[in-house]
Amino acid sequence: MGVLAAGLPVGVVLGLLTACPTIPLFAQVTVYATVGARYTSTLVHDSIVTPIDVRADLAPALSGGVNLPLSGPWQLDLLVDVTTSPVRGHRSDGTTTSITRVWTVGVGVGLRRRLEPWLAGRAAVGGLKYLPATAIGLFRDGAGITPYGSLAFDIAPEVASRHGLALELAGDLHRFLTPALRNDGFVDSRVVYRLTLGLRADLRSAR
Amino acid sequence: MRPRLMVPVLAAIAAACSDPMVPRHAPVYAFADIFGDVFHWPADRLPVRFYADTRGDLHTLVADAVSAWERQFLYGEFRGVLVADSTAADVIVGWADSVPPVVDPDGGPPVDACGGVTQGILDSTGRAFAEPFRTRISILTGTVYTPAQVQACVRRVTIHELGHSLGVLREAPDTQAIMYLTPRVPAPAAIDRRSVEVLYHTPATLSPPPP
Repeated sequence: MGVLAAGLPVGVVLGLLTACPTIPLFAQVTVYATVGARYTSTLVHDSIVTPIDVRADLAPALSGGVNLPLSGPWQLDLLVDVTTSPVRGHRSDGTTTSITRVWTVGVGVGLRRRLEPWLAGRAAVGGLKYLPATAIGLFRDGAGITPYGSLAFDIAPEVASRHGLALELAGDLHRFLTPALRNDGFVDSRVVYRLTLGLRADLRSAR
Repeated sequence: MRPRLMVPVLAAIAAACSDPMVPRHAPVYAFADIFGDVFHWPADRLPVRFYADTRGDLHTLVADAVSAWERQFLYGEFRGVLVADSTAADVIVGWADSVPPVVDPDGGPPVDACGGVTQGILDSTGRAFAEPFRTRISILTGTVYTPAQVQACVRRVTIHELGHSLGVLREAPDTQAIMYLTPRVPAPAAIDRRSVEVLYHTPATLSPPPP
């Protein structure tokens, strides 16, 4: 199975696309955007004399994508996700040091379906890239692309649904390790989860 | 794919993932002074302000040295910036006497064509520095080294002396360290990195000079 640079299995994408009974008409495509706030768990836990945790600040999250119809209730979801926030080292004595600002860009593909009239769910996989503003600290030698998996739920009461709006709760998991950390003795990557609360707006709904 | 099923699955995945092993961080060489006192710049004094003599290429040498030291830290423990006003500096770097010509550095074996000294003066309490650190880079007279060899030497020595201003208050015994008495390597090595890493997480017993 071929693998895209972003870590997406090409076979999965092709399989999903070929599952479409017909090429979706443009009228059946939903284009959406989500704006929200994102919490990211500890990226690195280390102990140099005293413990230190590296965390990203609570961050704005912007995502967008398209939903394409598949067989039955399923939709193919192609999504892009961007977050930016300062990353800081937090010491056990309460002092913090700013490391750099980091952007994360995720590209994913998933399956989405309506679970209840007011609730839709999505599971997706993709690739995530950390882009530091400056090559310094744990990002001094860059950061690779890491695969991630995510789940999201859209809650849309009827009144919000009429306007193409929904409250989105999303979570994703990926593993984090940079070449600089590896060079400093870290062997295993750390599991990082991100939780996002946002507002989803259908910019162009399927008719 | 009901939510009541997905949430426990996510929780189980997260719980199953234990923290990765934290590497052992140990200093390779001692950084305290002969009395056992420890100094490093505290987080609330970052970025440390460096002033470089405007003659020759000292500004570039100091900028490169600051950058070289910044790269040794994983978690933003040290940051430096060059300032144009020596009265607003925490570390003042100058030539001791003559200014070497600006040429590409020699890539051959290191030679002792230059020297340096960094001085920090304690106040009357003996627990804090009284004024900015002062670093002087000197060109050894009476030597027959080429300008390129001198340039390579002042690059090494500038990084070495700035290491002292960071808080490495003694010379390293290892010839592979940039903090060796007469540095032979062109940049901080892994042993320097491991030592300053621990230094910046060790409680300081000496305070920095007034801002």
